[in-house]
Amino acid sequence: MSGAAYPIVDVHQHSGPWPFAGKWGGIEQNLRYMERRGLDAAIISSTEAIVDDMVAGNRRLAEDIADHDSLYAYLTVNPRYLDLSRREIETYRDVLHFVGFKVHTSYSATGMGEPRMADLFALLEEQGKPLLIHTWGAGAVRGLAGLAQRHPRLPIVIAHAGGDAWREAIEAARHTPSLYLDFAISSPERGRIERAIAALGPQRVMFGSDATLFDPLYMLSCFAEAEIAAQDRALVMGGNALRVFGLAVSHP
Amino acid sequence: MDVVDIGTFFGVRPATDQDLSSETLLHLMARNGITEALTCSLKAIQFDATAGNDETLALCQAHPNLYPVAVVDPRQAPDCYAEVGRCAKLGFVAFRLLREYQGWAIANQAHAHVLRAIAETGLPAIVHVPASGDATALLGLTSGIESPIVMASVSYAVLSEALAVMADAPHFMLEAHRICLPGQIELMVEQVGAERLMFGSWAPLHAQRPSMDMLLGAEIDEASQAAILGGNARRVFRLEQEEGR
Repeated sequence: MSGAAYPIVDVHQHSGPWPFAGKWGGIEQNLRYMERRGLDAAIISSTEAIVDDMVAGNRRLAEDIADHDSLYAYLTVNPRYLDLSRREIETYRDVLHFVGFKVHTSYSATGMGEPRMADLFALLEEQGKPLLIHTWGAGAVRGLAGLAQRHPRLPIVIAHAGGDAWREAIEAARHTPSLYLDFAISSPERGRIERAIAALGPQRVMFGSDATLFDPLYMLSCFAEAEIAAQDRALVMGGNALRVFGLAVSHP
Repeated sequence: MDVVDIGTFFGVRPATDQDLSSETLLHLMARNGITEALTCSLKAIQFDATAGNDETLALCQAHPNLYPVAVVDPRQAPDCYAEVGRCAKLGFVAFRLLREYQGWAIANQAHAHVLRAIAETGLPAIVHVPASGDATALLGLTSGIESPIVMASVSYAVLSEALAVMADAPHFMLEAHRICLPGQIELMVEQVGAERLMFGSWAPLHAQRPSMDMLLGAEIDEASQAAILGGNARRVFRLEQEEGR
């Protein structure tokens, strides 16, 4: 689809509208932009599950992606609703397209250092699937590093690479092998991706776009501008996602 | 294609060890096919507006594909009013006011005086309006001013407010930077017209291609694309084509 010699897998997508000026839609919006921007596969969480009703959003996403081989899902879980999250995990345990978990620290108003977040991490570590977690700021990065070190069997993708704390995120990942970085952001400081690859190796950086909040083109362009060796680019743009999430993605 | 990047910087910044030198800016422009750029000195933003503006002028005199933008810092009122007049005489093509880098509020009477001083020069003012309420406050501060005002630092979260301001003020324009949501460029063109949008990347602080590629990848006609990427900047900032300089 992209003309690239390797599959492109977007590890950070959402489905559903956002309350900003733009043109929104449901899962057809994900598919349309994937086709238009040349993405082979995407792992998606439900906007509704994050910002409103976790159960309804997860259910709608499961229905939406059921007939699409290129679409995978994160099950949204919420540290404020630990029992409900446990039940959601049971409900979708055998649904193959649910390949990971999504936690949003801001919408759940739960910091990395709170006991309920620790309880959720303990639950997730037993599931054998990676976690994508919204992480913004140096304090959040430090807190996440501590959690990751206490739960080393849980692969964790740091969404937005910590935002303005991307240097701290790289440093945390340097000391914590289970941490991976996704760089989706609207204010893309130059050089972040190259620094991460230099510090961590190409195996720990993943392409994520934050679509359909963002057009995937924005982050594709950031990665295109970054000076990445050809063999590393294949890993970063998709190879690492295939390995870490255990995906089988067809690439024409 | 004629591409003019209206939002570039050069210098050093204590908060980052990125290479933000003018050499890097010129290298990025050449690599990314940016024909010309408006630029301003980080020193002018962070430390000394006058020394920084002089630095900008010297750089642009050495590189004809760069046009000088003067930084005015309302914290330095009343001296900054004289700096406006000085820079207008020296050939700067616009002024830039960056409140989020300098820590002053948008609703600030010294800011209002600076805007009036700029308006007297007839040159455009590029004003950062990053927060909710900023664009609306700027509209109030510039009541009676008809020279061009370019809003910058407008993220997706405050774009609706900026478009509403533009609907009420035909001389307001927008630096299209960080416009990354699906359909936002198409929406802006529908709402306010392509002639009021201009490409700015914030290179080398930010990656240069994303903002440009969003314009190249938008579902807008070629004339609109060409206007946003270069034509509007030439008109608004009165830039000559390179061969004419």
